[in-house]
Parts: sequence; structure tokens; C-alpha cells
Amino acid sequence: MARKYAILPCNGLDKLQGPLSREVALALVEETGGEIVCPVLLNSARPRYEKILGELPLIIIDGCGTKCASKLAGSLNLKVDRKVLIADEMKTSALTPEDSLSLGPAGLEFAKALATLLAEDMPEEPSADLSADFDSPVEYTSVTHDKFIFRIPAAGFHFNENDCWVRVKGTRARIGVSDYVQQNLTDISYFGPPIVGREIGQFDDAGTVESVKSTMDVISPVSGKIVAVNTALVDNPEIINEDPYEKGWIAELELTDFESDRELLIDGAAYGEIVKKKAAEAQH
Amino acid sequence: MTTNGETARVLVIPCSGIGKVHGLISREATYEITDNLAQANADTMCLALLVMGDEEALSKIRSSHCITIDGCPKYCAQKNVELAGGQVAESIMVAEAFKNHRGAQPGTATKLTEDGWLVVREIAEGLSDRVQDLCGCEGEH
Amino acid sequence: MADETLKVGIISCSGEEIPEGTISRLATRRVLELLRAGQTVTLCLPLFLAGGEGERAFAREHPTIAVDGCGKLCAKRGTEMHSGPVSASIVVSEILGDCPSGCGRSTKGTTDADKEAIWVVSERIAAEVDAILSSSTDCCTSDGDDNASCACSKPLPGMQIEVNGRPVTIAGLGLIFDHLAENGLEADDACGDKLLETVRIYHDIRPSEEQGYRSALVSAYKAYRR
Repeated sequence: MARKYAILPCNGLDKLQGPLSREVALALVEETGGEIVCPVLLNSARPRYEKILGELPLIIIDGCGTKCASKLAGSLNLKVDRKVLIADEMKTSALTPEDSLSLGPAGLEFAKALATLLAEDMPEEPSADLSADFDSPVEYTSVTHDKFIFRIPAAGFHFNENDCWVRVKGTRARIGVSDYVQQNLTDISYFGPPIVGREIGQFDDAGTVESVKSTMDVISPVSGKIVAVNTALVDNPEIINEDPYEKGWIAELELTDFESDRELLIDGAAYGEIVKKKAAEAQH
Repeated sequence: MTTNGETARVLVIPCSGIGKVHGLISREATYEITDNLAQANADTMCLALLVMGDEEALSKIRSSHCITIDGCPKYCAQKNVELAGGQVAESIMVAEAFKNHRGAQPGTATKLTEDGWLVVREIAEGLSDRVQDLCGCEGEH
Repeated sequence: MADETLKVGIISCSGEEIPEGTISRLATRRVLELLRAGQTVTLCLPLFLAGGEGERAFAREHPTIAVDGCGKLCAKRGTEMHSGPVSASIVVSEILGDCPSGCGRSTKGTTDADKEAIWVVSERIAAEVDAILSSSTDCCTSDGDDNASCACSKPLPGMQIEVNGRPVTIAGLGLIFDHLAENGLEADDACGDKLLETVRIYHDIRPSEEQGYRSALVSAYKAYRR
């Protein structure tokens, strides 16, 4: 399946290429999923798109040589994965849209064909089988202390007493920090990743997370070889705050001996009791 | 009102979150702009008053440019100003600013350290330029 | 549950436009961090109003004090709108009078006036916390020495003075004297107004008895400072 993109079309109102740009964007969303980014809203309220732009690669669809969408992206220092210029595509296409600001059948056909072409040319989602395992939905329970609600996965996760979790799928595992940690640290501003390829033992360091309040070493609940790191966290460490158990995963390991490691780990229910105790003892 | 008694053209509205240092920084950055760097053209407003539907507050934000300073990604100030019908011309999030200040120890929600005041000043200076842009002003200082 | 201790929520206005908003905020923080640490929880008003479920749930299920800077009562009204009635309402402008002179909105360059205002309001909040905690249990008793005493709150040593020939015990009077002394109040005949103004925050004084209280407090303060 083609990758999903954040799609920034131009907003041109006085030329045919503007409506064509928008129509291509709509057709591309239909083909591949993804999200349209409104250039007007992006310009006036960028935070509204922080999450989408942090998670998805960006494709820009400019209408004409003025390239307003590209210029907007440049002014906001956005990382662009791909660019399309409708004016150029029109020159090389066999289809000729009607010269009208209201798109006719030929214009719609052109847009759809271009979107299909773009979708075919997009790279596949990486490691589809592996990602599917870790992408299965997680159900949560919670423990409450005062006004704080701490989420804990209902099943499928193990914890160490350093507030780090592990989720095992076959011979691989992902690790991260708990919801209690991210709330305690408050807004995480820096993520120091572990080194891919390194062999680590149970309770070895596997990266750091920092906030203005504190720095925490991620203590690996398991032993193994680090085969992947969540690089999205480098530029957007706040993902750990938003979603510590799923999108905020820190590293993926090829396990050495989970059955032995497991003896020193606890399940979610037991970890919940520890969280209640820690929260009661902590000074807020 | 600005310090010279005229209707402010730009309202700078912080979240003032009481639980984290980011809320205090949002507040102090606001005062640095309204009381110091752009006092002729900027003022602030009680966010809670706006959310509670105070008519005067609603009228003011609908007739002014608004800049919001939020402490964290919950964006309480920006969301509430938009919900009340204000147009947010610029939105800043303090936690984002700390990505450029690794290792900074800004203080607590009660009191800022020198690191904290540095970030306050940085945010305020950047936004006071924006105030001038929004007013079409030159040479405020 | 690991923690069964009843706690009191405090939701403060933080009004940005006036110094009373800053005083409200800092007084609340002083109670949280110093005066009643471990017995109170602050609730973030902007988050509360924006839909913070943790804040709203706490205010629904626990006694909550609203601290407002002015008579617009945003914290009180907001809490009532989303969580239910508050257990107590404190209004800074009512405690301190019209815009307190010498107080500023920013914490940069905090003045003596700021510190005094924060102290007065925070002590008042703390007194409300104690009242809530003591009334919430069945364990409150008098220990016979007219000390406010309860198993769930710290004892407040009382001090007896004589007002118009009548013995009156004022809880926490020693603390009040200590604070005023630290802030430079001289033990002379001119200190009466300040003593009266501070004591009446915690202790009801009828207008007809003001003169009597003033004289008694001045004498007591002079004796205390010797």
C-alpha cells in the first residue's frame, strides 16, 4: 500500500491550476489516505497541523510557476518530501482540461489520472508486517491520584520498576516509558536515542528523555539488540507525552532471552499499584 | 486598554497555567510585551473572563488582533480565543521554545530562574516584532 | 487505594489584567507548596475551562476552594458550571480592598507590598482548608486549652488577650505577630490599625468592639515583642 502523505495544495483562485491542484489533492487522499493541509489555515495557525506534519511526509502541489505553496512551506521551515507542479504536468499530459475556473469533466479526469500516477509512484509503507504487529490497538485501564489519571495498557505490556514498558511480538519487542513518566516529566523537549545495532542487557540504558523538570534514562526492561529507533521522536519528542505506549515507542529490539527477563518484570495491574504509591509519595 | 489609555490593537493572551513553569513563562512573556517592549500597541486580557462569556471581553477580542501564548500542547489559550470568535494571528507554545534550550532549568510555576527569564525575553522579543507587523508600526522602541 | 487522605482542591483565577490575579495565583501556590503541602491540590483554571477531565472530576468529588482576584468570580462560576458548588470562595479584592498599591502583575521585582498581599491571602486560603478538613471528619475536639485542634489538621496555638475586660482567644495570633514583626511592624502606639486589619481576616470583630480590640492587640503585641 502506498504511503500516506500530508498534502499541501495551492490555493490559487484566479487560474485553472488552482482548482486543479485542489482536485488532485482530493483524489490523492481518496487513493492513499493521508490528510489535506489547508494553506490558509497553515499560514495563520500552524499549531493546528503540528501533529500531522510531524507524523506524515509532506507533498506539495503547486499550481503555477509562482509556487505559493512551496514558498509557504519554505517560510515555515517545513521538510518537504515531494513536489508537484500542475503547470508542468499539464504540458506532459495527454489530457487537456477545459480552460475554465470551474472544472469540467476533462479537468476532473486530468486530476484523477494525475493522482493515480502519483500514488503508483509513491514508496510502500516500510516494514509492513512488523509494523502491523505493533500497530494492533491497545486497550487501557487507568489509576487515579488526585486530579491525575495515569493510563496503563490492560494487557500485552510488561513493566520494570523504572517505569519503562516492553511489548513483545514473537522474537521482537518495543520499549518505551509509561504515562506516569511523561506526566511526571511534563513536556518532553529532548530525546536522546539509543544506538542501533548495540547489544544491551536487561536494565541497561536505552536512551534519554529530558524536560525542563528532569532528565530520565530509559532503562530497558529486556535484553537484546537494538534494531530500530523511533526517529520521529528526535524532532518531536512531545509524541511521548501525547501517546507514550503506541506512537511514542522508543526502540525496537531483537530479544535475547525474554523468558529469563520476564521473571524480573511485572504486569500492568501490578504496575498500576506501584504508580498509585509513587504518585502518593511524590511532591506535585 | 494600553498604558496610554487607547484601545489596544493587539491582544496578547497567555494561558497562565498554574501547574507548570511553562504557564508562568507564558504570563511573564505577555507582561514583557504589554508593559515594556510594545506597551503602546499591545495589551492583555483575562482568559478566564473571556471563556466565561464576559461581553466586554468578547467584544474586545473580536475587534483586535490576537496573539496567544500557550505553555503546553493543550493550547488552552489558542483554543478558547478561537472558540470565542477571536482571530489568532500568531500562536506560540512555550514548551516548543525549550527545544532550543537544552539543559535549561527555568524554575517553577511560582518563580523563574535566570534561565526562565531568558526564555521569557526571547519569546517576548519575537512576539513584539509581530505586534509591530500587525499594527503596521515602525520604530516602536 | 494507596492514598486515602482527603485533600482540598484550590482553583485560582490568575487574572492577567490585574495585580489581584497574580496575587491570587501566588497565594494559591504558597498554600500548595508551603502552608498545606500534601493536603491541597491546585486545579488549573484554563485547563479546567478548556475541558480538562482530571481537573473537573477532582472538583466534582472533592471539596474545592475558588480563589478569585475580583468580583467577576471567574474561578467560582467556572467551577460551578462544570463541576458543582464550591466549598468556599475567596475574593482577593475583598480581602485587600481596592487595587492594592505597590502590587504589580509581574513576578519580576516582587515588592514588599506583593509579599504582604500574598501572605495575607495565602493564610486566609489555608484557614479555609483547615475549616473544610476539620468539618469533614468526626474527630474534631477541643483539647480544653482553647487550641484549635483536630486529628487531621495542624494545631493552631491560640493566644488570649483582654478586650474590654473580657478574655478572648485568637487562634494563630502568635503567627500573625511573628509575620508582622518580620515585615517590620514596630511595637508602638501606631501599629493598631495594621494589627486590627490582619487579625480580622481570621477572627470576627464587630465594629462596636474595634476600639477595644485595637487597644488589646497593641498591648499584646508590645508584650510579645519585648
